[in-house]
Amino acid sequence: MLILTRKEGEGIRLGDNIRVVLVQLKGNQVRLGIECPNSMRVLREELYQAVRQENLAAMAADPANVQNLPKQILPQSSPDTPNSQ
Amino acid sequence: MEMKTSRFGALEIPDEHILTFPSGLIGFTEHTRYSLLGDGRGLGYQWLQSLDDGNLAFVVVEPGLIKPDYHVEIQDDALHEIGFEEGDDVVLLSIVTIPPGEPEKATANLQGPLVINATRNRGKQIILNESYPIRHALIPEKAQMKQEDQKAVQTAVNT
Repeated sequence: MLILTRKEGEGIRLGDNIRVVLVQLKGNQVRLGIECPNSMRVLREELYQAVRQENLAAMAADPANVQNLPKQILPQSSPDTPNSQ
Repeated sequence: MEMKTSRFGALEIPDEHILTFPSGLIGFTEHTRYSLLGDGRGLGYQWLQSLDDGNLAFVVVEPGLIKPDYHVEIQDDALHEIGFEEGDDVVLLSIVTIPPGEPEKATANLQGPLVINATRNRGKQIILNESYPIRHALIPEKAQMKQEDQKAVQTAVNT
């Protein structure tokens, strides 16, 4: 990991079209400004990790449990894909 | 293709039922091929079965069924990845987490839905900028309590 020291108001550039600026230092928090193309996703790391953790928790599903999933919240007529089994 | 799975035994998956997730799912980047299997009960649940690992499968449900006002903005990079072109049929799915032994407390991940281009069989898991729960209860807690009451009443009647 590359580690750089920056002062308030200073920034860094990643490639040609991403700019990250240290906007403000306040106590144990820093405010970052990020300029990047609209097509690029910017996410808080913990949100990414939370979704990853949830995927890991979901993968263990046991068909026996699925048989007992709630029925009443779903309309009975909802379409199912053809069963490939 | 033929696929041996731990849950459903050997499956014959026609080519047109193979979904490609070029980046995999978050945390599962090396698994890029899946297929959707109905659970045969018409309740809206489906299985997203990995075709790279027979042990890997997720329960999924259309988020619109559990949260009718659910809407997402799909960013250009995701649209590009699923090969979206005007007129393509795009489907959203949420992954369901079932706590072991407590299916009534199952939740759906509304923050990180799967976006699937059904026309081109390509998909991607995205993370929304809007704030949605990662664990949205399939049954609201109040209804869960009612269910437990009913169970208790039934138990009382049976004993």
